[in-house]
Amino acid sequence: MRLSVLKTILKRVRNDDWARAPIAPMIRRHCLRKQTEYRSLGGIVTLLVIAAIALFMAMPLIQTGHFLIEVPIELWWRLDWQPDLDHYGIGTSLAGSTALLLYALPPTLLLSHLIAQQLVETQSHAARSTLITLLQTWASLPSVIIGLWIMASLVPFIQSHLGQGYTLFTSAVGLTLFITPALTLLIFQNYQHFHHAFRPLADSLEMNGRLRLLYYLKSYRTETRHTLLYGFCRLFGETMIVLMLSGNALNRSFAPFESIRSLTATIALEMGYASQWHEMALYALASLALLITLIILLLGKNSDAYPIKSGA
Amino acid sequence: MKPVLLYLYIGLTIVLISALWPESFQLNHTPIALWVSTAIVTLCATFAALLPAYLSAAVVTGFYHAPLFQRCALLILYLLAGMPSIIIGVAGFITFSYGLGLGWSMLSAILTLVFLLAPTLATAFIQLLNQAHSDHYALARGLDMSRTYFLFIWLPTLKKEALVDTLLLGWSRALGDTAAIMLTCGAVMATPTSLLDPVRLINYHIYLLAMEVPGGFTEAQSIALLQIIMIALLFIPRWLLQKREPCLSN
Amino acid sequence: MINHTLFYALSSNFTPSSSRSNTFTSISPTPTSAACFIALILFGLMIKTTFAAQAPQPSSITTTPITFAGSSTLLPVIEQLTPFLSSPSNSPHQRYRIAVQGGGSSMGIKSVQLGMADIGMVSRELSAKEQQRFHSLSLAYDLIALIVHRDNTISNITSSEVRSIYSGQQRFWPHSTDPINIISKEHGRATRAVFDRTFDLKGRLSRKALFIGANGQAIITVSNDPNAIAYVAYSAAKAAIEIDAAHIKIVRLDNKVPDPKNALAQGYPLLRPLNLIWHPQTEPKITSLLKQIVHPHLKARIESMHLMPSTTTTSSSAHNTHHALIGVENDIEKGAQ
Repeated sequence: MRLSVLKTILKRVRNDDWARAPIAPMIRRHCLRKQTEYRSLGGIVTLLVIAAIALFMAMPLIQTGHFLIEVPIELWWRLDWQPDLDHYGIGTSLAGSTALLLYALPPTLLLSHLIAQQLVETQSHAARSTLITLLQTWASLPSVIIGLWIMASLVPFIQSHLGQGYTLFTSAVGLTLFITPALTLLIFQNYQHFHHAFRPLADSLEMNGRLRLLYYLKSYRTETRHTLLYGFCRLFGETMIVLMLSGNALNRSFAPFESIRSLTATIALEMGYASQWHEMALYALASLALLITLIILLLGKNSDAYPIKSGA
Repeated sequence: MKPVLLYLYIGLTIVLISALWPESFQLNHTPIALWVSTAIVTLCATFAALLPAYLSAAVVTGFYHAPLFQRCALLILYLLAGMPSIIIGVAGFITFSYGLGLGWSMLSAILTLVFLLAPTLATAFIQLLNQAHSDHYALARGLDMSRTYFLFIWLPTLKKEALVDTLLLGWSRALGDTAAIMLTCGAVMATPTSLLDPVRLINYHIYLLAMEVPGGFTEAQSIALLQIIMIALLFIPRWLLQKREPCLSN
Repeated sequence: MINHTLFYALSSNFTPSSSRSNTFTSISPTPTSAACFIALILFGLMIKTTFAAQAPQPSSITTTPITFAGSSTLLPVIEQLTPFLSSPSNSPHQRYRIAVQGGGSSMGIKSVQLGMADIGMVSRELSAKEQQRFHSLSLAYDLIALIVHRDNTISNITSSEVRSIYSGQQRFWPHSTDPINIISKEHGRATRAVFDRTFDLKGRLSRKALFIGANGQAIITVSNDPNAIAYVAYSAAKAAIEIDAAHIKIVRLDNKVPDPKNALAQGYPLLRPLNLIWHPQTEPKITSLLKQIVHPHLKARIESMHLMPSTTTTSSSAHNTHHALIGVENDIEKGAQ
């Protein structure tokens, strides 16, 4: 029945009858009278989704409770992680993750901003669309493929020149290559908006590219903060590349050509072999990663990311 | 219409091959088994995550009047989107493999992936629905269109391309992830016969070949190349489409 | 389709200023058909999984699914034995569908305990507690070999040298200024446990030691790095040298050659049993499979993988094979029954 009504409407539209046809009353009369609105549907589904997610995320935390109760405090209230001695300190993995962030986040942010700026400001449409497709493809490549590629190319090179290929530097390069495309696509959207809004102003002030970028960073603070958070989350959470490239030595070091162990890599590496306290310690480590991410995200959160509209 | 026919043809061929796959072929230890299981897990996860993500996005963008849930959903989606995938993997392992007793199986991998994909999809849907709310909703209300009708019939047909884009995004995210499934789906290299069978996904296979199997590095590289080509094939149709449009982003 | 086209027509009138207003004339078929394509694949796979599960088996043959899980050293061994174990010619009335799953020895024990796997693969000696809880079968012995790059001049290494290298006291190769790159394995791996115990390295491992992969990547790293040293399963090292022509060599330990044929006689210290364990409750299900595994003609196959087939066999909680290295001869068939 609805189809027939719409056909009629279409006929009128085609005959340029739009102004004369009282469409709304017609639709009301013919088809929408019997419709019932399930006001509670959305609420119930969201409640279920929220409950499921909360329960799901609480699981590692519950396991951590067992760990804190059962394992003596002197075994985990320390810096070094040495499972064969039952030392479950968080210093090793935290130092590794921090070192990775320090080495990989700045180049990632710089590169992605520069590429996004070039992408928006380039005159050639064909080049832009091709590059974007390339970036999209790259951004959806599995991390193991990037890891494999670096392992086949960069690792032997560094090994032959510096004696050791699996280092902090190698994994930082891998992470930069992996995360830059996704970050570029994110910045591209924001910068495009900036470009349309402020280009005349920037042109009249004769700003050069560097100034335009600085102006963008200053005027689009919320977006920049989001970019930063996104970069942090991806870098901190990336597991496979670090696992494959960092060498995973239990070494608290910030030197670029030494091997390190990151937090997420520890979990992925040892989960299969762990038992008893060691396994519980890994769950606790997972909870720690969860809490760190939560805190950083909550600190960086702004309420106007998606303006909340009033109900329908 | 030619591309439609081509896609239909390829799709039907795959359907026929996969539906009538004889077990006597003994292809259990070949990469084909990996492709089949990867396709099942990632596609099922994408489609399973679609509805909760869409409804949550509808709640967040104010289509449903639920102010408390609105803020909760927004916060939780925001937090979940930033979670490291290994954490989601660990939580999935504890919840589904241990807690619900599903063991290493496709089902627990799918359920874990749903939690990974839901925030990604929801973020894309929120953008879409925000736009739709301001552009079309008032008009639709003026025509006495019901909300359910607007959300589930009108909008999907109107924004078909954006929906397919979102689907592709979710699928590529599912295809690209390794850490979340390496703990939940097992490592058995066999064609699955039910959703409770353990399988090995292609990314984990690449990782195992490169790291654990002596002399597997070359094979890992060749499978990785195939994987790159597959993912590029996902995006090339969009690239061809984009050439016609003046503006790239929605 | 008609419905969709209508909506496009309507939407073009509702939003005249929208950039998508000309969608009606330029409906691109690709996204739609891509969606059809995806849906079709999904549909097909669903059909496949549904019907394959319900496919009628000939009534005379029963199919039993058996899951192996655990040690990554045993994984390729069992995978290579699988065609013999699952083939119906060996047992006409029963057919096995065998799934082999890695994850490490600890995972093998854990999954048998939780019922996630039928048979656990454990490549180390079982503790007394584990022997009480599970039944076990010692399939073979594996040697652990110390490997270095082929161009490295050393061909023999003493136990005390290994200890000082791995604990970080000796940092350079003898008579050279090249630093030693140590490659170790994750805690919990059976190889690491045997290695640590033999050289008394527990808690003393150098902080600079790398943990890269299991056997495969360690071998690749050593073959690319003239200064590296690693310990891997002998079978893996031998396979890498023979099949992939890897640039590595196996060094003697205290002048003892790691060779499966005379390792026991020489007293080569780095030796570990490869065990299969199972829960007493699952025993009836797998009895016939175990018979096949210990069948003499599979021994040659195990030997061809550079392993040392075991002479001792199954244990129950009463029958202890803890000192299996010395070996207590046992009737294979009887033990399996």
